[in-house]
Amino acid sequence: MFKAIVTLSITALVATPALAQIGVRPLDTTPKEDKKTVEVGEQAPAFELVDQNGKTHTLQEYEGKIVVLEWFNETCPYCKGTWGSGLIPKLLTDLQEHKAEVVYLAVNSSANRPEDKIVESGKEFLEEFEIEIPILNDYNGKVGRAYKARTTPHMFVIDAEGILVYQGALSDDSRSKEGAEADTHILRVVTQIDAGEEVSPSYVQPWGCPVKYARDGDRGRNRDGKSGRGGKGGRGSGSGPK
Amino acid sequence: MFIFLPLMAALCVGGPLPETPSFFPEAPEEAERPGRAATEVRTDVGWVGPSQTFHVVVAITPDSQWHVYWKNPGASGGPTEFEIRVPEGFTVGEPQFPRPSIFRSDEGNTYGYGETAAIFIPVTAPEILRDGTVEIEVTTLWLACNKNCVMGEQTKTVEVSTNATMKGPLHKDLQLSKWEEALPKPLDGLAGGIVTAIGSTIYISGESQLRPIRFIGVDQKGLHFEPNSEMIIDGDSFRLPVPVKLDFTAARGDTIVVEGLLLFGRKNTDPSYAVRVEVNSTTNYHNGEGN
Repeated sequence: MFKAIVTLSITALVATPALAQIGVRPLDTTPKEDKKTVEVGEQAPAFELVDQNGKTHTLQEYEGKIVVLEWFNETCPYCKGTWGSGLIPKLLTDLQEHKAEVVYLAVNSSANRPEDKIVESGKEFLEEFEIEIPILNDYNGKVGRAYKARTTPHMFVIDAEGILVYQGALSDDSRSKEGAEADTHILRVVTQIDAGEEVSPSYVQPWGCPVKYARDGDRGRNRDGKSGRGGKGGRGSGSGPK
Repeated sequence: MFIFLPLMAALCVGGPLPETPSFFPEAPEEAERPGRAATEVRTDVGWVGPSQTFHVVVAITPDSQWHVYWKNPGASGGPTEFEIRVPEGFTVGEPQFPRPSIFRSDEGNTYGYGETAAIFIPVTAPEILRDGTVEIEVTTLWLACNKNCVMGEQTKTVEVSTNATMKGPLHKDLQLSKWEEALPKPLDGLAGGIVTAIGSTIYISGESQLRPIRFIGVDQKGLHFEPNSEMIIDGDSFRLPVPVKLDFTAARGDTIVVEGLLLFGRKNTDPSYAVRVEVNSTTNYHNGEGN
């Protein structure tokens, strides 16, 4: 059985260049669109989340290791494609061959179904592949929002010092046309870290299904096992970012 | 051609996704279509003559309450894409997408279509053409989303008559005219329309009374759009700064082509203009300083 663990990221705003005023009246221009994810080069947000087997994981405990986070939703066709094509199983194997120790963690921030069903469904999904990696339960979406994870998959790589060094797409093959042979940005990033090189590019636009975050009306409705709909056997979504 | 791997096919296409449980009941919908959208394909000409450029028009219609995506889906989603098979000698150009709707969410805006969208794909016939008919096969690939998402794929074939000597007339039916109207116009069609790149900012200027004015960019490797800065307005004139992050190493070249759409008004029938500017690492861009 394969053992590994996963995570994600964010971007920042750029200073507006000084502009000679030709007029006066500022207008509603563009929405605050494309909310950026946290900027690479910053400390990755800490978290404490529980996996599908009830084990708690914190970012802090993986200090000294490279942490890869995959925003995950087993019902999303892109996740099905990247797993079903063999790309992610191969990536997990390839990552083991690197000299740096890599922890691969999946994070599920979906809240469009009851929490216990999401946990169970993720577990069943992994069983099909005979792969064991933690799927961290982020039902209330706090960690996903802290990283500003937008898609499934949305990938984040955190270096041994806890600095976010990459966030974005898994590969350039969103439709899994190249199957397991597609080059992944994750392997490229880990190889660059291994070689002591600068990680470049450190951002590639992520593709995938929108993360199905809990909306205001849903939050708290089903997140801590106390509502009667929460995870079994103490499987809650943890306490989110620390 | 796009090939679905067997497992993926079984998981994604062959079998319907698990239904969204009654936890969040959905409104009743019409009969479910695979991929939650469907396409129709036609051309915009009566027949095709030598060297003639015409369009294959793909109309994609998502199911009620579902949407498909623009060529740049935005914060999430997947682009609508095409694979075209044409006879030898024919060439295919860049698909032209109509103005998309902006779907807003906490996680960022996405761009796409909740109703029928007609994409125009330019095709050029060879110089030497025989009388007869040719077949063009169009495979459309999309992601449709509502509360969950499904991938869709549909292949359609269209036959076009060919004439060895005469170019064919354009169809001018109402539906086609309406679809053409929804396509973005070139920026130089806008009064005073101009785009320039200075340092790490693209400036789009022009004149219009329609408000709001917005820009949506097409992300690519080495190019990332920052939130738009405040626009400068002087009567009907405007100047919109669009800050970008450029990484020529990631783009693997000295030039990055910045593309996007300038949108006026809020309705899908309001005008939009295609913006395109090349930024060169040596001539336009000096460590973020304008020249």
